Amino acid sequence: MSDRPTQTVPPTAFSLANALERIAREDAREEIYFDPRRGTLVARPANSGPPCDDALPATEMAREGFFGRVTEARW
Amino acid sequence: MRIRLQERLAIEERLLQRHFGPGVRVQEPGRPDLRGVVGRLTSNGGTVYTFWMPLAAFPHQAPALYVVDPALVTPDGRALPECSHRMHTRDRNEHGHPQICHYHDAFWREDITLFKVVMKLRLWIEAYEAYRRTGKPISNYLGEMEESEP
Repeated sequence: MSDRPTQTVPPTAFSLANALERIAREDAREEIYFDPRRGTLVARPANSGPPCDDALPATEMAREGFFGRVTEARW
Repeated sequence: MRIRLQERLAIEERLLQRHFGPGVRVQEPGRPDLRGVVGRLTSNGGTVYTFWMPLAAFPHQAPALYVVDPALVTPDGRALPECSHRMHTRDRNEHGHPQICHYHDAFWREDITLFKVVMKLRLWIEAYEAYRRTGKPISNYLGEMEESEP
C-alpha cells in the first residue's frame, strides 16, 4: 500500500472570468448560470446543464453585450 | 393588455426578490422623483455591492444604474474612470458614483425586465473584480452591444 498522501483533487475549475472573456470574444465553451441559493455565478461546460434546478441562465445577458459607445473624454 | 406601472413594478420586485433575495426592493413606486430599485448583490468573492437604479423614466428609457458602495476603484486605488468605453461606465451622478452601462438607449425596449438589468450588473461586478485582479479592462470580460443589433 502506498504511503503517498491522498491528494484532494479540486473539482474541475471553470473560471468565470475566463468564461466571460471567451463569451466576449464569441468563443464561448461554457454557459453561465446564476445560482440564487448561493448568490454566485457559475460557469459550466456547454451542454452540461445548470448546476441546480433553480439556476438561472445568464449567458444571454453576457452575450448580448454592454453599452460601450461612450465618449472617453475624461478617461 | 397594458398594465399600470405600479402593477408592473410590484411584479418586477417579486421577480427580483425571488432570484436576488429580499435585499433588492422597489422604493417609492408611487413617486416618480424618488422611484427606484435599491439593492445589495454579493460577488463570488464575497464583497457586498449596494446599487441604486432610479426609475423616473422607466420603462420608456433605460434606467440609470449606480454602484453606491463600495467606492469603485482601479487596481492602484484611484477612482474608476467615468465615461469609459473600456470600463463600461458613463457620467458620475451628483454623489460621485459612476453610472454603469448596461443597455444602450437604442437597444432598450419597454418589455425588458429589471431582472435582466440587475443580472447584467451582477456580471459587471464579476468583470470589475476580475479587472481589479488582473488589470485587464472590463471590456475584456464583457462584450459590447453591436450597432447592428435590432
